[in-house]
Amino acid sequence: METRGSLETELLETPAAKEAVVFANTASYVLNRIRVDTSADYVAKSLTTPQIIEAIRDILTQSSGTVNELVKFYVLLTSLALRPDVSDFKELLISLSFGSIPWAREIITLILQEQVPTVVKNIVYESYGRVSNSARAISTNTTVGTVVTGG
Amino acid sequence: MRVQIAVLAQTVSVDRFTNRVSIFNLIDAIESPRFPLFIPELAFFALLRKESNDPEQFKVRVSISVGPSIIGSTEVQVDFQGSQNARILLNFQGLPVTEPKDLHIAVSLPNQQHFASDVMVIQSGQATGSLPFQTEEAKKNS
Repeated sequence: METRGSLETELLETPAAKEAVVFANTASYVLNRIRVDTSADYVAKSLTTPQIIEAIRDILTQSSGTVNELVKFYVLLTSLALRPDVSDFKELLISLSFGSIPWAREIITLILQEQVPTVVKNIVYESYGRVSNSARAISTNTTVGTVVTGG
Repeated sequence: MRVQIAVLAQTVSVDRFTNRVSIFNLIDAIESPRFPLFIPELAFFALLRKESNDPEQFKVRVSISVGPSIIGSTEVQVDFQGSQNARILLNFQGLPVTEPKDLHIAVSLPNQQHFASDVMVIQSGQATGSLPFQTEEAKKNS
């Protein structure tokens, strides 16, 4: 409850998020509309993944069942799609019980399916002289490793 | 372990919201009248698929050569993180192509044969004839 309380309600319940929930007809509709909204971005930047899961749990156990609570729930759920470490909490997310809330399980499945690990490595050639013998490469990557050149 | 896709393109981008990959300007051949040639921007993308008995984490060596000469090679740490697929994206900010011979990209997977992909490098004919704004005198001198 405390985690959820630290969020500004007006930044959470944006008109776009409300509209997405009211007009939703599929899980992917909710996910694709809310994740590009400022509300999901705000949550993803304000809370860590465990905090978001805790806030989702709070709503599931203490929800008053109002439309605004449902909007908050979908914003919190969708914000997980913007968290880079969401796949680390796969088991925890699968174990959540969403009761009769529509599309919650499908949204979680969609989010987890999208989490294909991607190794990105940028390779910059520093100098270009007699290439076949002396090209030198360095690596400014997001992973460990070095670039070795040969000739 | 299988290499599902391996392509060379001008740019590859990963969408921040959806984590979907977009490949722009696929490179199937490189053509130039002169060599060596310096390609300012190039991306190599590979999608790996894990089989049931494959390790979760391993190192992959990617090497690039033009004809017999190796331009460069790099090691990439791949971690499937419980997923069945993993992606490798190498962004080359400048790649020298020394001679008009096939650009060869080899991906070395653990305990397996190399996966290799070739891109044809062609030396096109030199441009001939005079420029349209050249004077008759300049044409004679050239």
